[in-house]
Amino acid sequence: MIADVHRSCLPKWMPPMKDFILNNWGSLASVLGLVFSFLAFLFSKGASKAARQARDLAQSRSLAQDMNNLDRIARDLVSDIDGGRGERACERTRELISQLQYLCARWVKLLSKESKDSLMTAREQLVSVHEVLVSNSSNAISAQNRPELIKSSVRASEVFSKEYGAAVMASDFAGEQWKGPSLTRFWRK
Amino acid sequence: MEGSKLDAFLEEVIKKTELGLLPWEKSAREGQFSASIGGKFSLTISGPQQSGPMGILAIAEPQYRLTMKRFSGEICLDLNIPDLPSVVFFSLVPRPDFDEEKVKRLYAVVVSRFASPENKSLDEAMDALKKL
Repeated sequence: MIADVHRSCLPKWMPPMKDFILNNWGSLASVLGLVFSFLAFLFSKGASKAARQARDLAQSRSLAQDMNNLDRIARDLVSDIDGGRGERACERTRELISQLQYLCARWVKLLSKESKDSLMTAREQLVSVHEVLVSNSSNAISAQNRPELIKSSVRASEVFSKEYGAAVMASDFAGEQWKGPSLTRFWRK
Repeated sequence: MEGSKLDAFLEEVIKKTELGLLPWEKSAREGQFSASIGGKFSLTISGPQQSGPMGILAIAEPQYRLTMKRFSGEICLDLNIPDLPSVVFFSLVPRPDFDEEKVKRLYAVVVSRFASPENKSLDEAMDALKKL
């Protein structure tokens, strides 16, 4: 009696839907599982993209630090040559070449073609500076060699400054892009 | 076979240099220039020096030298043309499998480009002026 009253209160479509659910619960569960799998896939895709962006951000910051370090040593080299301190200039050139080799090996996959060209140019300039400094019999830098040495070391410094700026810009750009995993952001896209 | 490949390579470098497509730069050493190719290789060419860095010992240094390095810094090509009389050179050292004249010509082309630099910026500045 009570059940009949209760049934009469329900909308007309409810009993057939209940029957439908009872008859097809297996298929419905499969569909529901599929929907959840799809959602999980969307979330994981968003998360992996965010993780990739976070990694890019960290890498470009690290590259910027390395470039900044090279730029600083190159500026010191210019002032050493300008001040006629041959021995110190020679040490700095060796340090720069070695740091540059490290940087090239570490960031080979991240650097663009233009950056690689610029860095190779800087390396050749530094190698030539080193050759001239080493060939000097005395520790002092001769007035004859000084202009070319300054020109080459300034050129190397310019390259490092430019690449430092490019790396900082890349990290700024990566920072703007990364907002963390967000489904709403995904839906908007 | 290797020699002809090398000659073809040198010819291509000369051609690209003449067209101004290779960004040669002067280095700190007198008579030395370097350029990079496509983010993969760097070329360095040096010619006869007026005064050797080590005085009389400079005679033993090659007069013309072309080296190519990979991005990693590894030398993958090193062509030397010693400044020795031909008779002595050919009797003591095996004949190189490339055309020496091509290296000398390349050096001459690079030097001539620095003697009369082609300033593309002037054309651009002229265009900008005309648009004012």
